[in-house]
Amino acid sequence: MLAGCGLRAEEEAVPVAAEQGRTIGVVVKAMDSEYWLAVRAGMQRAARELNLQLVILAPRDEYAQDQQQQMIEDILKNNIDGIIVSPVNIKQADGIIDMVQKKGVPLLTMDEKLPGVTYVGSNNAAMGRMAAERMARVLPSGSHVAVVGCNGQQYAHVERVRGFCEYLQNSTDLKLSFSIFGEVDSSRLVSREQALLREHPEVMGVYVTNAYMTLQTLGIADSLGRNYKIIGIDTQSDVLLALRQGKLDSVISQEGNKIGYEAVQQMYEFLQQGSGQPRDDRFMVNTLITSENADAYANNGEVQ
Amino acid sequence: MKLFNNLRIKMFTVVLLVNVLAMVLLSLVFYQQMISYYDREYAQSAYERVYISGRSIDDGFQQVYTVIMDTAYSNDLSLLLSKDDDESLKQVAVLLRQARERNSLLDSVYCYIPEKRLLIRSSTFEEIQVLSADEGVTWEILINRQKGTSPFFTKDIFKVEAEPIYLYSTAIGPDKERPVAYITGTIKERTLYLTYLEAISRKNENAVLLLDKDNSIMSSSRNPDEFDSDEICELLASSGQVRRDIRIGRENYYGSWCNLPFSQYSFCLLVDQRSLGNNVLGMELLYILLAVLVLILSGEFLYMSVARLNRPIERLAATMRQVGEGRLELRSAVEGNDEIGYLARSFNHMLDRMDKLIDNLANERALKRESELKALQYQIKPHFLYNTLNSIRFAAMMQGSKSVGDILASLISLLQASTNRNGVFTSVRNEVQVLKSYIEVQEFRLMDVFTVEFHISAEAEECVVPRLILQPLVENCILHGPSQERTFVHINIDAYLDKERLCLEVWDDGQGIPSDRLIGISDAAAAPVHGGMSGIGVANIQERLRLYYGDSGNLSFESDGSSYTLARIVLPISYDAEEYKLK
Repeated sequence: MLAGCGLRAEEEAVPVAAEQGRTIGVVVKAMDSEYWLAVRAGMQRAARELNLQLVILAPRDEYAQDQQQQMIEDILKNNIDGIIVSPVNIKQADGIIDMVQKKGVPLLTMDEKLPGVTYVGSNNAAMGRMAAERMARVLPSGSHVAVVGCNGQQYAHVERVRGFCEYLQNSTDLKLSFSIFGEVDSSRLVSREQALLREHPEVMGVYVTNAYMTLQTLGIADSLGRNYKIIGIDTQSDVLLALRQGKLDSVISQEGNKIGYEAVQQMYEFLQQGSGQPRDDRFMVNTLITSENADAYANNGEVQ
Repeated sequence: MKLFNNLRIKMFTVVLLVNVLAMVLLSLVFYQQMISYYDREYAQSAYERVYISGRSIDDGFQQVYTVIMDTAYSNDLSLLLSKDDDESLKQVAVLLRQARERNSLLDSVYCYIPEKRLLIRSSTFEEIQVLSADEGVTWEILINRQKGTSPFFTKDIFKVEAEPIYLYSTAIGPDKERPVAYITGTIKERTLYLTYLEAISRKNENAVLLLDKDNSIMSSSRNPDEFDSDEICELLASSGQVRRDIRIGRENYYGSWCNLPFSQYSFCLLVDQRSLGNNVLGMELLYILLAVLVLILSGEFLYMSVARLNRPIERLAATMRQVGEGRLELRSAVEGNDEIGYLARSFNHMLDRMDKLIDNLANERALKRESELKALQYQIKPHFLYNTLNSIRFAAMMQGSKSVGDILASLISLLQASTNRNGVFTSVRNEVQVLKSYIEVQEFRLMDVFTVEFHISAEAEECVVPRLILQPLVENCILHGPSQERTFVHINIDAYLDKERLCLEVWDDGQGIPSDRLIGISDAAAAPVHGGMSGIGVANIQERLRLYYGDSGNLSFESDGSSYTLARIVLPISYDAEEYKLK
């Protein structure tokens, strides 16, 4: 169904003649990870089932704020019936909402919460709490931990860090050595993290808020000769491999496929109603994956 | 029409007609279903082709858009543009070439810096060019017309041929009103056509159209002027993505289209209905050929089946025909235990019963005639013997004469004749002899009351007649001829041949028979006794003549009512005592 996102048109299900449905514009944060590919697959599945047309655009990476802004502007110039956005920068929020309001189409956010806009995705603060709880369980009492928030411009990462830190402070005796956020691109963040970890040899555990930086942290640990308890977020295949090899302590899954599916379905239901804005936020289930249940998760995509 | 008198032909014709009717009905139903199915499947198939091709086109546009956006917002480009030196500009050209290499649809990628009217190309020829003021304005106007994700269709102002191109452009820089630069990518219309449209329009009867959101034709396999824009607009405005009756020029087309959500274009496939008609015509011919073949085969099969089924009926009919012509001994062959077998068996049984009935009837008739004749003969004997024996008794009492012996001799001769069982026919000669014996007996009884003369022709003597046929007539003459006025009667007995007939006449000159009684004497059975004539004797003769000769023998009387009576028997001439004997 989707034009131009890597999936060949021949592989798509062709609707029966005379049934071309509404068009929904989608601008996600990126298309450079398994998570976003899963989100796209879920959206496409929902579109097929609900007879919708999707136009999915993605900037180069999750830091390409201007590019995403331009894409949102461009897609709003199209003849669309609704738009789903995953903004790469929460500072864009007002601009996006204004643009969409001018266009007069319903807006839904996915993966990234905007104030006053219905959201479909993970409960990011809960994921942070889940990671902190795990960290307290696997580290000795009074241990020091570090937090790497991968993108300080994104509400999702901020929330993940906030949930972690709040739980850490309120419910554990672990001590936070440092907390950093990426701002411009991930390579700078890697450099900063490596420098900070070198400066803080007391750190025994690291919490990282996305898959890419989780693997980068693993490399830093190797380079520093340290053995951290690393807890990451997202379950792409190389992360799961590292988990099963015992290099990571655990990761928290995000059901990208379900998030994509639910987002499109939510928009469809709203379009069927015909007025107002999409309804309540929908939070997807997140699961803690450890070496014990990593195989089951890898095989079945879920853990009992 | 004689042909249709044959049951086999009738059965075959009826079954064949039913067969043909059923086939025609089935053919019509199947044909309608086939056309409907073909039409539906073709519509879906055409739409799938359009949908898939359209999505490929849209995919191509989006890939170009993505390349342009990625290039425009890359950190490297941003860095190079910020340096503002010749080497950096050359590196920008390298970046543009790299961008162009990312997608085969891209013809050129441009970076235009409006502040310096500097145009950097992805091509190695004149990769960096300073535009004139007019060129700069023209270019800036051109690239600013691209909106959203829909490409702008225009002509390449930097090429001599001014080829039609699709153009994507985006402004970069913090201030959109005064952008630092524009990144623009172009796609040759022919490149897009050859990549996506050529394949689907490979047949001459197909036409493919790529239209923008204003329904203007961007790319086409034919001259855009051939198409009526109203027709195209009507097609694209229709709620369904398939229409069957689009008229373009003089031809009717089958149209299918789909929206391209990214480019906001529409992609349309038109198929000449004549080409579909040819396909349908081919199917129709094949179908008709198959129907005829099936009809011929089924007709042959039916004919053979009907012939096989009808064979026992035909045999039965032939047997019936022959039986009807008199061959009652024939019987029909019985085949099987079905209705025809039952019919044949019943027919044979009926013939058997008919044979028995006919035999019984014939036997009964013969027995009846025999008994009737015997009864007739025995009617005479008791009466005659009674009278004779009385005469002998009186003669013996009164005379005791020798003449009694003669009379007895005659009586014996007469009794022998009357009781003779060696056949019912005898020659006229023998009959006359018996008659003479009778006369002698009567002369003895009555004494000088009558005299008899015989006139028997030689030809008549050899003829055969029923035994004792004349005796009752002579007896009538003797007994009833004399009267008070005329006590002596002359009797003449004649026998002669008249043409092919034997005439036996007994004439007397007695009192005659009144005319009113003469009429009734012919029906002696109805009036057994009347004046001057023994009813029993006449009736006996008449019945015997009817039984032996039918209408060929008859007895008639003639009299003047006072002086004579003539009784005449006319018979067919016969010399064979067995000829008229009852079988």
